[in-house]
Amino acid sequence: MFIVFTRTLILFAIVVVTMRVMGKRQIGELQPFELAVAILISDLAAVPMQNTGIPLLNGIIPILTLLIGQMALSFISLKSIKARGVICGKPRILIANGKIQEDELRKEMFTLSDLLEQLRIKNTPNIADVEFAILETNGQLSVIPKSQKRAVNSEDLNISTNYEGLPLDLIVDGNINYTNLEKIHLDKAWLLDELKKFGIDNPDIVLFASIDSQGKLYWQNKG
Amino acid sequence: MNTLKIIISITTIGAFIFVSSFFTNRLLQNDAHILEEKINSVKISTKNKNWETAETEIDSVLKKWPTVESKWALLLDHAEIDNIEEALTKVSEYIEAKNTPLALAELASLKNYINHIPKKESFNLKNIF
Repeated sequence: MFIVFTRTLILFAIVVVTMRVMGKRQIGELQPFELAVAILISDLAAVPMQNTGIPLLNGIIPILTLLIGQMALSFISLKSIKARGVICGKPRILIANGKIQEDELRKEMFTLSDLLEQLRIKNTPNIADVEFAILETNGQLSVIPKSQKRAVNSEDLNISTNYEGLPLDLIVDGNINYTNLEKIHLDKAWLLDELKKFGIDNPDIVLFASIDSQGKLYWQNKG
Repeated sequence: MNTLKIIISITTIGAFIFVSSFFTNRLLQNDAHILEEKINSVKISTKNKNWETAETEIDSVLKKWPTVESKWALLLDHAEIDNIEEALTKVSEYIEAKNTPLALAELASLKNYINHIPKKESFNLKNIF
């Protein structure tokens, strides 16, 4: 049993490193070849995990081979637009200027039911509200509504807004993030002063604290 | 990841796989050849009913086997290793019992199990498909 345990840990570590090297993407955003690699890697790792008769190398070598294959294809797609078109395909416009493109639907074997379903998922249940609908290479449908149907923004109402930068976390699970404090040219003394204003003497009891671009501190104590 | 890092990573991993594959095949062929020669000697001694020599020679195979086995176990399906161990045990017993036909038959099986391994692991169209 300990053998299976050890082999599982080894293969798990290799799979985690491999997926990490492959880069950060959600499953729904993977290109077709990346999805194929992810599925293959999980299967390749599972077989030697369970079957102690198979040498570990029979799982490790194929995983490494897939890794270099995936890196090579990604690199080629990055450097060559033509190659990217072949490897990943091209986005297809399924609705252009409010009109359904039947030919494109047929080429992608995308039925009208599929199209309507995706539009509903994208919160655009009425096809008449769609200016453009583009089927991306990762299978996601991008919907651009007609200008009269899109959400109103501040620019439409002539309202000026302040710059909104990224909020930075300052305390996570009681640990102060000194890197983020340095980014905003503040220090621990300032943070402790601010926390004292809310009756908090010790940052260890703070679950999470962040600061937004307006300088407003958000915090929550541990339960 | 920048371009150079990607190229170096691909080249390093690819080279590691190719080089280790080459050396693995060499290792399997060399070890199989050494064992085959010893088995051939045992076979000749057994045919000639020279039991003392046959026993000494099979002992030499049994002494050599753990070293070979420790390397082969990292590279091959363990079922293949188990087949060879079973055949070695049987040969050893048949020689001790001075049973010529069974000893020769089992020696033939053992030789086949051992020779089959480098052939199975070599890079050719038959093995790929």
